[in-house]
Amino acid sequence: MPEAVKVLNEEIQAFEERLEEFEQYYKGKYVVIHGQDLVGAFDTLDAAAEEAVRLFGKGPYLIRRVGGPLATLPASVVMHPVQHADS
Amino acid sequence: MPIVECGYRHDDHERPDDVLVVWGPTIMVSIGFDPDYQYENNEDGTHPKSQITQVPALIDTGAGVSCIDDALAKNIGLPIIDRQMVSGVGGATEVNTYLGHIYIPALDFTQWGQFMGALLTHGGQRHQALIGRTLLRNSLLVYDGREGQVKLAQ
Repeated sequence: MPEAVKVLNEEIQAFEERLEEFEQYYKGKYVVIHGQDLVGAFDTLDAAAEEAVRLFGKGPYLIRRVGGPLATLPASVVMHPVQHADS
Repeated sequence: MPIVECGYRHDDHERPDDVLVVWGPTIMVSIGFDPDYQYENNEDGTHPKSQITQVPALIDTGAGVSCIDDALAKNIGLPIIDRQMVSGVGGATEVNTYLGHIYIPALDFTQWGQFMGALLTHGGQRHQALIGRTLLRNSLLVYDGREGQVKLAQ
């Protein structure tokens, strides 16, 4: 597993461990987590990304909206027809 | 208002309406991440530096958000900022989320933000990005299936 993904998984774990706290104080906001630390909570993704890039460049860091809806994968991604090998 | 053609022309082998059915509206884009670029204050006519150019992107009105091919995102080193569960017609699955931009040179338009990493080329698609409704929200799209022509204006 690449190092960045390993670190990101740890940051996701840190997010999930503090989810109750985040939902109480930061619901609807975008939080930035670097390592085990909460860097900040922001009203927009742009603001969160700008601060994350300013502080940590290309990362790794986690940016996630607290209480955000489940994203939807486009049907074109999961329903692409594959030609049968014999045809 | 800049207008770009995203459909197909007649050639000796295929009719443009047939090609449009098979491949869909396609536009060439540049993709990357430029930490030195002021994405929010870019009124000086500049555009961000991209790691890859001339990438075919599908204009997908069925997609809410724009996506970048996961393998491409990894290859050009886009920052990975999340992994999250997403729903789809096949059920829930986990995908990477990247920070970056899609730049459309023909419209001189940049969308910056988070993009889902989709398994496009891995699944046999020739497109390496999907242009979803978040990018299209300020656009005019005219689809002429009879002629195989699609016009996108910003």
